[in-house]
Amino acid sequence: MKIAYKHLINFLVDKPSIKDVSEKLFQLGHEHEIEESIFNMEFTPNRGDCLSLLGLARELNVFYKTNLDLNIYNPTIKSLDLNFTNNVVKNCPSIFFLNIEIEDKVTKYNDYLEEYFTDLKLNKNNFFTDVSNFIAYEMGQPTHCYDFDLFTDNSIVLTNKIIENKFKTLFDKDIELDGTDMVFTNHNKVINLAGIVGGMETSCSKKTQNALVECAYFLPESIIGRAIKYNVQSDASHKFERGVDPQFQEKVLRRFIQIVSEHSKISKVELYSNSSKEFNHKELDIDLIKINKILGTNESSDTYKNALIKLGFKVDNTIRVPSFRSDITNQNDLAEEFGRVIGYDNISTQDINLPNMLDKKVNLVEENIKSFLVHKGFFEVINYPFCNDNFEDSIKVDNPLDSNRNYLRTSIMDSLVSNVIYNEKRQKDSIKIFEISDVYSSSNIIVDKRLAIAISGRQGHNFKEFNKILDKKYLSSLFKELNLDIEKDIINIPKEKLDSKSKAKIFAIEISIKDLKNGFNRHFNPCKKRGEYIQYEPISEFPTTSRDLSFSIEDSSVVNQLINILDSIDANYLKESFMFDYYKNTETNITKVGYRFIFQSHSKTLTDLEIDKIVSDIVDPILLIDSVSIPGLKNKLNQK
Amino acid sequence: MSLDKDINLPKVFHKEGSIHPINEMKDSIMNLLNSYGFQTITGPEIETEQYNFDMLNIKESHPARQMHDTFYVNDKEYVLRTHTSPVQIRSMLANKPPLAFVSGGKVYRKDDDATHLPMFHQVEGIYVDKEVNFAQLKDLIYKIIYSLFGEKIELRFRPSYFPFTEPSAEVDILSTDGKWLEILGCGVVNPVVLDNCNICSREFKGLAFGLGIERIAMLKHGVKDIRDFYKSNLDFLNQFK
Repeated sequence: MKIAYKHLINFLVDKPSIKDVSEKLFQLGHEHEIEESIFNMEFTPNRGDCLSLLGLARELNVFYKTNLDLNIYNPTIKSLDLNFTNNVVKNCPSIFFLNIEIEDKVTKYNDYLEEYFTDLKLNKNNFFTDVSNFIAYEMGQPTHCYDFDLFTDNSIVLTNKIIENKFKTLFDKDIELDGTDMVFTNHNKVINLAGIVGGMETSCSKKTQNALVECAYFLPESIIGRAIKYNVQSDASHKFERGVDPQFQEKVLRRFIQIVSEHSKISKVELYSNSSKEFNHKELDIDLIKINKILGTNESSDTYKNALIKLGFKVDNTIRVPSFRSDITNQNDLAEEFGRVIGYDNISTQDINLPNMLDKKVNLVEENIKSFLVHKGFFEVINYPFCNDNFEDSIKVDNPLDSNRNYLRTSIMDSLVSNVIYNEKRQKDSIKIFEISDVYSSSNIIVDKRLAIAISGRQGHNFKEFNKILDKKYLSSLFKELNLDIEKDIINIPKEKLDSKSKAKIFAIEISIKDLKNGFNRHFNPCKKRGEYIQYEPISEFPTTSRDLSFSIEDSSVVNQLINILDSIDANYLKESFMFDYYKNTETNITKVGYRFIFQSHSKTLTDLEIDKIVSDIVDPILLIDSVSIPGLKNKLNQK
Repeated sequence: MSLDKDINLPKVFHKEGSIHPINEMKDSIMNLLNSYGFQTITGPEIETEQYNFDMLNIKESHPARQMHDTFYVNDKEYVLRTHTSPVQIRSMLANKPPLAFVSGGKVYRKDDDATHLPMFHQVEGIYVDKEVNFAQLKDLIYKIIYSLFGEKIELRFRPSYFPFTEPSAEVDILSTDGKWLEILGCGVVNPVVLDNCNICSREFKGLAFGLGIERIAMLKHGVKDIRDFYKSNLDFLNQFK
């Protein structure tokens, strides 16, 4: 909610700075951002009482001298002859109607009303609606204005049983009501979706001079969810959902009359009231010992009582909760109130020492599986559980994000295959991934924690593994080390229907953790724990280009020197380099070393010319080493 | 190409993979809490409304229970847990205080945009004993945050609202660019919740807190887009080993 500092300060006698007010609001728990002297407030859902200038000023009364009295119209008001029927008294225990008629149309607004629109950059509608919106901002109570001349008769019914389902809102939106909603009707026609939005047919316009202003207290439970159901969220529904002051309606209408009277001569003012029962204020014990115990403080009785009084509570033998604080029900609530006034940051910490609990490892097997696989070069992935595959035992999501995410997955393997394809498209030629996750099925919602692994491509980026393929044998031999025979469960995933140009075969397995218990129920070296210090560098979505270079070394004493140089190269756009081939001819004593250099830019697709230049920069100093050559390289570069 | 037996054959360093950065962060926080005395508990991701909401004092009228915030499954018989708190409820029902539990794992909310994911991770802790108070909760939170971000980090406690704690607080840390960032929610367990779990609220009090793992991982690793965690891109995962 937007609240202008300039408007708020009118209630504060001392005129504190915006920075000071901001700090105090945070202390009280009212999160906000400030933009051009406007507080963009984010109130917690339990604090409907703060959704107005007056509500916020009431809170700031803790810190500043305030003037919370608004000018209201005080004279006795004649009773309005209205044929009102309330069929949902439980949901609307208090409602008032004001009939107000003005002699002339209002064309110019007083400063305070005009500035409400200009300071908050809001559009005006018509005089009565503008006053209604201003009062909602100022006092937190929504009102709805009807053009009374557009009524068929003087009857209004508040009901949740209707015959007619079509309704056009005052914002010209057609709604098909489902017949369960609380609505106002006039002569059997729906004129207002109660607490949410009024109807077009009886809405005020610039011509309106005879208005009927409705001001009600609706139970939050009777409003919640309805605005979203019809996608007609309004300021009124937001306020009613969070709860307005059940004692405020008449005062708000008297303020309405006052504002109208400051703009035009009033020719008629009549009031109708319908309150089912008298409001009983909640009363709570004064129990400072308990409050200090909850907070861990040692505050005095006077400090406590003063804090509550400043927040609007009446304190004598008991604590009387103000009508606008429906959120306060017990001593813990009062402890929070007191804590807010003291300031959470001003409550000193006290040492905490937890009792010694038995620390039994609940996920030992899972941790061991992870350690084992990570040591073997596998990467753990995490996938969403949503999918569009409906199997016999799939669990259906009743309210999916979209039609592609209608079910919960019954297998992890499919997610991993998608991950492999995703990485193949990014030119990855050695993929080893795994995921451990709960998998659910509809038969009794049984949870089964499973491990899935997928592999594809080369075994590794080194000269020993480069030409070996990740296959069934590789995967089964991994688990044979642990005396686990999983070979029969390994699947060669058919690639025909998969969206991948890579010819590498994908092998995958999915297995219950409980079936792996025997192999992993012992000590494994844990994974290195240094990940949390890593600073991530954004990855590139541009393609990689690789260059293979074969070095011929006649003097075997410089082989290690060359390898050291190649392993420590740091060139522009060089993403990865590794030795993919090593061969020593014992007859000629010539060693051949093959290196692959992979390049990638963060901002563009690299051209061959650019890469050739970088490769030249890499190899030129190397070729100065005696006995090192790159057969065919010069020719290749010259040709391009 | 075949290899002869060259005694000078270069050594091959097998490259390791990595634990997913979110799981690593989750495990590291849970291990920290284990070291304080919190015992790890686990529970299902598919929950009943009773454990996910009712027992936690989240009334039927609360916005969180609406279809637009929570995933319902199996003809509204269950929900995908919206927090790991139901795990704590189950453990409180099964144990007698004093007790100190930590739960961590996947949670689900019906959200999917640049800054919100339909699935994310939480770690939550609860400590129930006879004499515990908000001042001690602050001590615990300072310990956790200092351990995560170092003792130079500035933090502030703000009053907030959670149906299951009262008083409730949110904790912000001051980032290097001078902005306060919300990092953690905590509070004194609402006595209604203790009573729901057959723990006498006149005799016992509870302290509870919860952290969103993705937020912390993003801050610690400098990841700007939360969605990067779940693309399974090897270039991304390779950076966390």
